[in-house]
Amino acid sequence: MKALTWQGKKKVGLMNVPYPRILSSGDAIVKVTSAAICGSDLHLYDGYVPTMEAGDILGHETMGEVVEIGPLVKKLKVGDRIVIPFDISCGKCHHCKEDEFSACDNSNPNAIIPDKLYGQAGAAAFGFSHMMGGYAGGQAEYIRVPFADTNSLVIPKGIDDEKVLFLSDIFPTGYMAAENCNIKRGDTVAVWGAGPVGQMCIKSAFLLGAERVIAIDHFESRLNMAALSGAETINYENADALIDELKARTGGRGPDSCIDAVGLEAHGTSFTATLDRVEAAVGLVSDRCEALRLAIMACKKGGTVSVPGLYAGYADHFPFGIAFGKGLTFKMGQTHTQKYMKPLLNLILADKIDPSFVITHRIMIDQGAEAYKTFNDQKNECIKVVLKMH
Amino acid sequence: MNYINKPENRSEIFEQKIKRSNRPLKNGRYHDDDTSYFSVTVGVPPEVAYTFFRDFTNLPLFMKDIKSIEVTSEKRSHWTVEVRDFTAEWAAEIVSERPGEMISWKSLESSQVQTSGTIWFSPAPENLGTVISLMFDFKIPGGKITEMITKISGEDSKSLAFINLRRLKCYLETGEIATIEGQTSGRDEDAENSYKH
Repeated sequence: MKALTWQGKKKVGLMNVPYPRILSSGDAIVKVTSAAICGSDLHLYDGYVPTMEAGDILGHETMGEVVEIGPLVKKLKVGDRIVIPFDISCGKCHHCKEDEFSACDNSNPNAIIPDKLYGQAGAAAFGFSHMMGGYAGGQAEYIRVPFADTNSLVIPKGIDDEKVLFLSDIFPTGYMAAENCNIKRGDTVAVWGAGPVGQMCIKSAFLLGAERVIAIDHFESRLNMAALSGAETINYENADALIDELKARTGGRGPDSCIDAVGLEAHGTSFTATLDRVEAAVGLVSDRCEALRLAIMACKKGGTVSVPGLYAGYADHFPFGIAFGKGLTFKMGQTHTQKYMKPLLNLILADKIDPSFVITHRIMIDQGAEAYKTFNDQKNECIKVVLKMH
Repeated sequence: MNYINKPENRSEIFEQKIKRSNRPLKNGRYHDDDTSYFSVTVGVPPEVAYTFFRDFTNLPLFMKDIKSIEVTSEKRSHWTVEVRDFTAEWAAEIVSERPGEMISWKSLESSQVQTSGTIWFSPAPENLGTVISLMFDFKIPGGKITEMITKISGEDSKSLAFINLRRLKCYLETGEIATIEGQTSGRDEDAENSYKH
């Protein structure tokens, strides 16, 4: 079958690989109909994520049709059309039972690596490095889905793939980030990064009752898209000016909550090097967490900083004294996608939102390798790429 | 009651002199120690966890590279490890146990492998199930076979203890072992570098 594989830094290759098969009794095999390229796939493409191996199949925003199930699969049936969450959860451990799916204890067969690096290992993810489990991703004609009853949402017939595909990651990610802001009537939410997740944050913040949303980016096309969702926009060039501008626009109080939808790219090519390299590259690191620093600086006293953007290691020059001085609340982490998929599907079915508005490029998998380059190099024109498999 | 609050368990654990090394992690594995002490919280009642583990024939269901365990008498069992075409065998004996709570074992002196360990099962707080604690020693005299096992399986004994404890938890909670072994990738020998129709 066709699959997009990671070959090394800035190298994604279309390969012909064997079909996936059931490896454990709770698995399902899914014929992929649509898959997206995520902003976090670009971290892999750029070689920033440790423990990738040449030949790994990419992709964690996937949907398709169930073609085979293992004997332990109880709810899912062959023929079901499903969206697959990016994170893989067992559905049975304590964290899964508490709806903390991205903290799943059991899904990562390489848990020993994050356990040592982070003190604990979170859930595995599709197509996202061996430290995150090493599971083959969904930018392929077929995908194996472990713990399939938990890692699937059945989609009713008659709805376009594009409307529901982003339930796999960016819509729940943006929604959880907005929910984490604990939005109250009259609130203003500032969103750093108007990429696909930022766009979902903006829509979700309005759905959750925000009065105003201010989108901050430096790509005009992304700000234009944010404006279409009702956000005010700031094309940010200068950090000091940005803080002043945000204060002036919020009666001197600052935004009630700030969302960092930019994140920090992990550094290093092997996980053991991550810590050393990050500490050695202080200048680089402080640049990289600029969105978070600005969010902390801008936020109102007692406000909330919500972080859906990906952080992987150590951030230097983290303004902890400012956060302390203002009594900020921090909410962050990988999305508990399985918790949000069903209620957000209902919002889509009720026509409250159509997440497909972020799609700018639709292409066949045969052109997938070039699509990575386009997405990486042309952030102004290219906001979200959807791959068609068949 | 948590296991650590039980005087007999507490003294057992400390008596066994937990050896902790501060040497850095290499390739995500420990590589530094023959003794390991880990605990994990498993969402099943202690009697379920204990009963499953006490029937040693169940252990190959979750233990990495264990091919078979044959129970030869009430106290003794025969273990076979197989990694690719390399096989090691040893006999182990239960040296003490408290039903539902603790099992302590040791390999027989005649074995080519020296291993000893203790596993404790205690109620976890609230509804969290069972705390399983494992103290484990694994040595092979002469070092050559140890080296070979580590080389072939890619795991030193301490990392293996960690991995097996996690796999025990996963099996008891889900009935499966999370795995990517045997999955498709671009590294497969049948994979081709660019797609041709």
